[in-house]
Amino acid sequence: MPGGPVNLDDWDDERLIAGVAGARTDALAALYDHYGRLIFSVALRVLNDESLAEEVTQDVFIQVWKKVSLYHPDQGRLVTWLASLSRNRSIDLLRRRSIRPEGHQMSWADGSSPDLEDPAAVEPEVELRLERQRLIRAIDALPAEQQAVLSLAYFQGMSHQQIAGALGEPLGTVKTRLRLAMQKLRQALERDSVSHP
Amino acid sequence: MIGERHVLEMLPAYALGSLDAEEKSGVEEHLGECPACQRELEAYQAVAAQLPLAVPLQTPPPRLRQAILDRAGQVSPASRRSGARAGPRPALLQRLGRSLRAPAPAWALVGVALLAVVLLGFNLVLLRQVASPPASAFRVIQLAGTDSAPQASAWMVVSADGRSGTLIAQGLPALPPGQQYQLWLNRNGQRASGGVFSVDAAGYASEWVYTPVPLADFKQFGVTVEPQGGSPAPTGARVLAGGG
Ligand SMILES: [Zn+2]
Repeated sequence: MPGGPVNLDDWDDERLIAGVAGARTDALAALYDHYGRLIFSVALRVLNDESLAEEVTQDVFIQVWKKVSLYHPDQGRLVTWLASLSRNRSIDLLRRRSIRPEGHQMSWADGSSPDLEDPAAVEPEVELRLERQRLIRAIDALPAEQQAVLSLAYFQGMSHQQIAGALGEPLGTVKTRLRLAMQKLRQALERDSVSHP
Repeated sequence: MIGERHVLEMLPAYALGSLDAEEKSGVEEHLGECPACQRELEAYQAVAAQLPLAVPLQTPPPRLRQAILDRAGQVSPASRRSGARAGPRPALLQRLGRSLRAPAPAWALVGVALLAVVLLGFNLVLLRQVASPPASAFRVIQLAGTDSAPQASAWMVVSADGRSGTLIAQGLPALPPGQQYQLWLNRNGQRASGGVFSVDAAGYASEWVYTPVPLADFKQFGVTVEPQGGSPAPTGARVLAGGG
């Protein structure tokens, strides 16, 4: 390493977390550069409102800044923890303010979308990009009605009953679709993790 | 009864939080006594945890990054510590200081390292590190206040694996807004930043130091006063120095 400041690009998740725990704003900036786009996208997906999504993204990063000790590696990876913070906070906001997003977006990332292929589009980490590709392709392979039910459950935090109401479908049909969607995804992802150790 | 009726078909929806209250409590009751269903649930939770990665990506407005950093700058280190992460008590720090100023037998260094671990034990990184090596494997380097800050003293506790450490500083003057302390690390004449930090009203700070190259490679340590956020190279008064 030449003399001069350490290069934050070299920081992995553990170092980012340690840096944030040490109140280093440069580590927080690097954390944002790694995961800010995903966190914002999750919030926007739930809230369908750019300024609310910005608010949630800020709250997520400030929460992490104040109490990064809430994160335990045992509970999962940093990226999924951050994304679920964004999802949960966004859904809380929906409920607290009784916001009804205009229409329900029920689509997932497009399996043929260009940002799947752009190496700089998602993350510097190749591993995460591959994981994202596998997941999107697995969701893409689900029938459209299962994708829709899964989307309403995850991104809108809807119960079976609420989904049935929103779609005008029988409760039993909704339950079956959601269960099948999750079972197929589980199989696809477990198969992939075997073939991509 | 266990085994009479598993809740397998409800677990995918439970992992997503989509069950109604009555179904949910039924599932939880069963999960409490059925390890098989618990394992199944974990598999579905792993799927649910991945779902946000499949969101269509959007680009946030460029101002968002700075807005977050500005807000973070307003959350002072003191208020960070007022939460679950309570800081060390001054009396303990004074004992720590006395033990180091006295001629230091090996046990004193072990004591310092142990005390540092106890005081800072809230941090997951250090917690994981202390789980295996004995405390005596820590290396402790004392930093002394310079003429610019004669009351200041600090200890650099380097972890057993040499990859990270903790700077504990006391007696540093609180800085005016817009300024922070910055730690510098030197090895073979090469300098790296160890990060910026602020002190609380009592002049105390504990700062995690984590560098891409092993911290143990650095032999000399210094702290200077820099503009908020730090500088690429030292510009302000040096307040602490140590190492060999
Ligand atoms: Zn069971």
